[in-house]
Amino acid sequence: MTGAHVFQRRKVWDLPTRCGHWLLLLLFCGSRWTAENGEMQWHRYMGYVMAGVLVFRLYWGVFGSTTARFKHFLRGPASTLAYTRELRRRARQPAPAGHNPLGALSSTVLLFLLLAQVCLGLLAVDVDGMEAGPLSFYVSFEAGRFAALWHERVFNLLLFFVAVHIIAVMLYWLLGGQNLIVRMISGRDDQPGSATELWFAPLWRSVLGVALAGILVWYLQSLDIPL
Amino acid sequence: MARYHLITIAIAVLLSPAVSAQSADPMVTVEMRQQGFKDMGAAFKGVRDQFRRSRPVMVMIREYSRPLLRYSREPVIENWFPQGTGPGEGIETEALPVIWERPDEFAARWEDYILAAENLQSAVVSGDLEATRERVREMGDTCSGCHDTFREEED
Ligand code: HEM
Ligand code: HEM
Repeated sequence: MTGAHVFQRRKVWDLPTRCGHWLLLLLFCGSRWTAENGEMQWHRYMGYVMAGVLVFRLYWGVFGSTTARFKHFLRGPASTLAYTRELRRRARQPAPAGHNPLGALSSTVLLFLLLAQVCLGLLAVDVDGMEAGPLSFYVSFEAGRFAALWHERVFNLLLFFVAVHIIAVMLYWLLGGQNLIVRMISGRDDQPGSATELWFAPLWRSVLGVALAGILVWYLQSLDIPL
Repeated sequence: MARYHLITIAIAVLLSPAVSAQSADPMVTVEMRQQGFKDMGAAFKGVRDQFRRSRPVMVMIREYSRPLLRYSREPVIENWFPQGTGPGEGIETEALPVIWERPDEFAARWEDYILAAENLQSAVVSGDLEATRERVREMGDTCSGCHDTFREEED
């Protein structure tokens, strides 16, 4: 680390982004566990909440705080590549406020895959025609099976990208001694005093997003009609 | 013409157990039964889906339940599960060896299904939606009741 910087403790991630992140992790593990153990009603419920969290995250990516915004962290391929080339050096420097270009890429891929996973689950039907997503009655058995096949494949893709995500965080820890996990919990970090100003959305802004998510969850569960 | 069709069908039906049971390649039998079961799965989805609607349509339930009734009248145990079609070299199946180790129990599970199919049929004919719903539930239980013991768990 260069001595020129004066570090100060400062807020990086706002509360809604942090809650969303840890909810996604919990729901991911929960979905996996319930599917493995045949608890399909709970599997579906978790999926609906996951859909809600994802919709909130999309909303927050447009109307939320600076570090949560897609505009802030989505970089073009050129700057992502440039960043990747310097990765070894960069990892020893303080992590930038918010996502670095690679972290942004991995988060975006994860968000996109989770969204796809939820949509596929809504249409999926098991081989016996018994367990099914609440929208599967719009599609044929064959189409529902196709969705289930991709539900399984996308899950494996997710496992891969979750691993990449975790390894990246570990590298920051091992190479740079920076604990990004604690940072995602407390939302705070030591940042160079010269860092650009961050804007944080007032909490009331999240109310609309939570309401949107709530309506979606309520709607999806209302379609889940037991036999 | 119709006569000839009838004769052809009669011959095919008479021959089918012999063909499947004596087929040199057990995979022919395995694929046939898997196709049959998939057909049942698709039919079950069709029936079950009606109960996802605010107003289930009886005619649709009747139409979708036809294959379920048809299979219940086939000699499924003899035709679909002859000796030598269990898991083994070159045979891809989820049928567990316990089928041939405890044939009576396996047959009893299929009897459960036959009964469930007949009960469903009566409920559908009666036109009573709530009774039909209960019968569909019971039929689902007979599928799981057999699969729990005799079909390999999906990973
Ligand atoms: C609204 C959301 C969701 C619904 C309605 C849903 C529905 C389903 C259904 C019907 C199956 C059974 C498919 C089959 O047996 O062939 C299934 C399996 C599964 N789901 Fe989901 N799901 C949803 C979200 C998720 C999410 C977010 C994950 C990610 C962790 C996930 C992971 C799995 C896994 C691992 C399986 C087992 C796949 C297999 O059979 O090998 N699901 N889901
Ligand atoms: C309406 C009720 C039932 C439905 C919807 C159903 C559906 C299915 C489906 C979709 C398969 C998978 C086929 C494949 O892998 O391609 C299957 C396999 C199987 N089922 Fe059922 N089934 C029902 C009732 C039963 C009953 C009552 C028995 C037992 C007597 C039974 C025994 C088996 C066995 C042993 C297999 C494995 C076959 C193989 O992989 O070769 N099923 N069933």
